[in-house]
Amino acid sequence: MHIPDGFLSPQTYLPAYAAAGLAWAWAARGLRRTLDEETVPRLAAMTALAYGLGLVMVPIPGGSSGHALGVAMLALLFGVRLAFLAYSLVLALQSLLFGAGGITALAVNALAMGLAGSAAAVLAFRGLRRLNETAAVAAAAWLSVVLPGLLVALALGVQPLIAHKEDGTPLFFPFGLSITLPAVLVPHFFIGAGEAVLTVLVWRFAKARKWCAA
Amino acid sequence: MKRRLLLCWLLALLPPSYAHEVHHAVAAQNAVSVRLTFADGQPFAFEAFEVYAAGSDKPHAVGRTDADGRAVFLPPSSGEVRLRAFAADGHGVDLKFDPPRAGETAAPAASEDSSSKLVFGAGLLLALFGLIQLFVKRKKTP
Repeated sequence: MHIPDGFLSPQTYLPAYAAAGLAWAWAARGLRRTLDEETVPRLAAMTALAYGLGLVMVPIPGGSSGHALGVAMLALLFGVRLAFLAYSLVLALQSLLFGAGGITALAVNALAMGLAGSAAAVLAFRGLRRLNETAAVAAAAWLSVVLPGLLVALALGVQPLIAHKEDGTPLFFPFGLSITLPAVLVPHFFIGAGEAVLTVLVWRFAKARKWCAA
Repeated sequence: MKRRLLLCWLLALLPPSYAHEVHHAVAAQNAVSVRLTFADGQPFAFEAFEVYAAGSDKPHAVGRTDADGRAVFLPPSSGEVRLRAFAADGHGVDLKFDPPRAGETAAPAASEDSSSKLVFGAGLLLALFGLIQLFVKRKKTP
């Protein structure tokens, strides 16, 4: 799901950087009040876990492979703001060290996975926890993968429409929405299921220790 | 006379009809092979790629990677090339390099030491959070 360099047009990544800048500033507000001596080590451990999870590829039915995000557990344990900042840091490290996602695409990746993923997880959890808490955590985790997948597919799929030569040849990513939507979303339905199982395990562990913020 | 004119006209049509034929010439040449893999070593197989000569926005070569994830092409006579490879799900690369030309041997590929990078990245993260922890402690110390 990490969009590499060269796939997004400047018409996409420059506004995305502006939006991400505002979102990072919003997330950093009140950071001093939020962070305390107990939160920082937990956040460090969970951020390191998300960083490692993003690099472990697991096979998906259909011959492809994918990886968990870990953004739902960050969001449920620490809230949207901290999760967004921590996941942006994860994305920057994965990009710089492993080439997993591009620097030009960092803002789009961070907005899709870090912000939309964590916001979707928290909203889904809050909406569903009265019915069944475990199911709410699982649904939140699944949505935290599928919604970013949808946003990434949209960002990629509109590239041929907004950045092309006079003859219509795409200048950046060549596939349209009819191809990117199923190609990105279908594998992420399965990845979301794996993320749900993992997040429920982490949630139970964290809840037993009263770490949860959501 | 009319028949002769008709014959001449028909003969005049012959060269264009020959022009539809596609000729072939088999030659042994030195191609460049770039192997593309995912982080876990799985080949980036059967995906589209494009090769551009330096400064050109018209593709020098287009094709698909093979089952082993290799993009194979004949490079332009000089200069860097830009290789772009795409999967429909957003995976791919966009890289520039100077390909080896006929008679040259490619420099051995740098080994990808993923585990040390992973440890380095985790170390960076923990060091950063360690600094934040120090800052938080100092803030609360009267």
